Amino acid sequence: MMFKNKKAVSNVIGYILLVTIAIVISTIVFQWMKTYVPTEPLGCPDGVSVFVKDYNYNCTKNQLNFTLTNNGRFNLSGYFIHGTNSSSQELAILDLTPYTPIGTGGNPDTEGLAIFNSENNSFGPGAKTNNTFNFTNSSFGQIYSIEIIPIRYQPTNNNKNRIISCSNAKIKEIIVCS
Amino acid sequence: MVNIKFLSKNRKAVSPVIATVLLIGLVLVITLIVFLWFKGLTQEAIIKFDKNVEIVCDEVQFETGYSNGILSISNIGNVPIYGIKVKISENGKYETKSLKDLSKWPSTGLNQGRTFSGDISANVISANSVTLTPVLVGSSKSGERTYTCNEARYGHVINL
Repeated sequence: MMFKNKKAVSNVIGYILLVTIAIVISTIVFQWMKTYVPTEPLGCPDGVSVFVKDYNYNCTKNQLNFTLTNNGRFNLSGYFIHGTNSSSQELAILDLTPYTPIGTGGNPDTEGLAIFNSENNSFGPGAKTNNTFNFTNSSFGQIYSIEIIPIRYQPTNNNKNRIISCSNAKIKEIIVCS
Repeated sequence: MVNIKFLSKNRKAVSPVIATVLLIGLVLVITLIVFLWFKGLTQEAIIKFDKNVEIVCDEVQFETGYSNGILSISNIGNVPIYGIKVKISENGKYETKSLKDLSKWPSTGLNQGRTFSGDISANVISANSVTLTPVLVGSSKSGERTYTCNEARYGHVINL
């Protein structure tokens, strides 16, 4: 029987089987590997830039006023601002947003931001804004320096606006009493 | 003698149908065993921002500082840092701990733009250096899972 019955599946069925198996294996491998395909990270454009045009720090009242200017090429929506209270402090970790009227609070997702206009990059190139910070009720006393990281809303792949931190445009300013 | 006779004359075996069923059954069982074995070998993908969390580690940006026993961390990137693994090295030996166990790390992690500072002096009295490696959280088929980024690539070393 083994030698006489030489019939197997036909050529056509053989090809169909091969192609099907190849497609199934490719699909499995694709599903597994597709998460490893690197996509462009959601980052800030290179032309983002801000600077502190002038400031006024009243040490008696512990109030800081500064004018922030957008000297970049892109609209911004706000900034992260942190400070230090001594020259020996390497990293600015004091969150200063609770001390300004434009600071957000309450919601842990948006806490720690100073926002000009929510969901909108309203701070255009060349624009200036005057911000006031009142540290009277703060626990850290006088501040020594501030660090500002601009932020902007950018659409994600799902067409949702997400806050993007422009850490490459971070600025640091040492504050002295006026 | 009887056995030889039986062997040489009774050539009947299982029918082709049963043989086919047996073959298919064997193939299915072996496939299942190989699949379960292979599944155990490969890690389940953890997804964050529609990408594998291993790739997201590339986007993590944070600054660190240490002064007078106070460890400071600032998340300046766009990826929330769920936790930090602290490798405390001391004269050739080391110990790895979670920053949650050493200090008051925020329970929701360190979102973008947020900072942390905590006293870890009691744990690093005679240490030579500490290496801080970010831990991210992502979703997988079995729910939310954490992933520790590669220490050699993404770890921040602070010499004490």
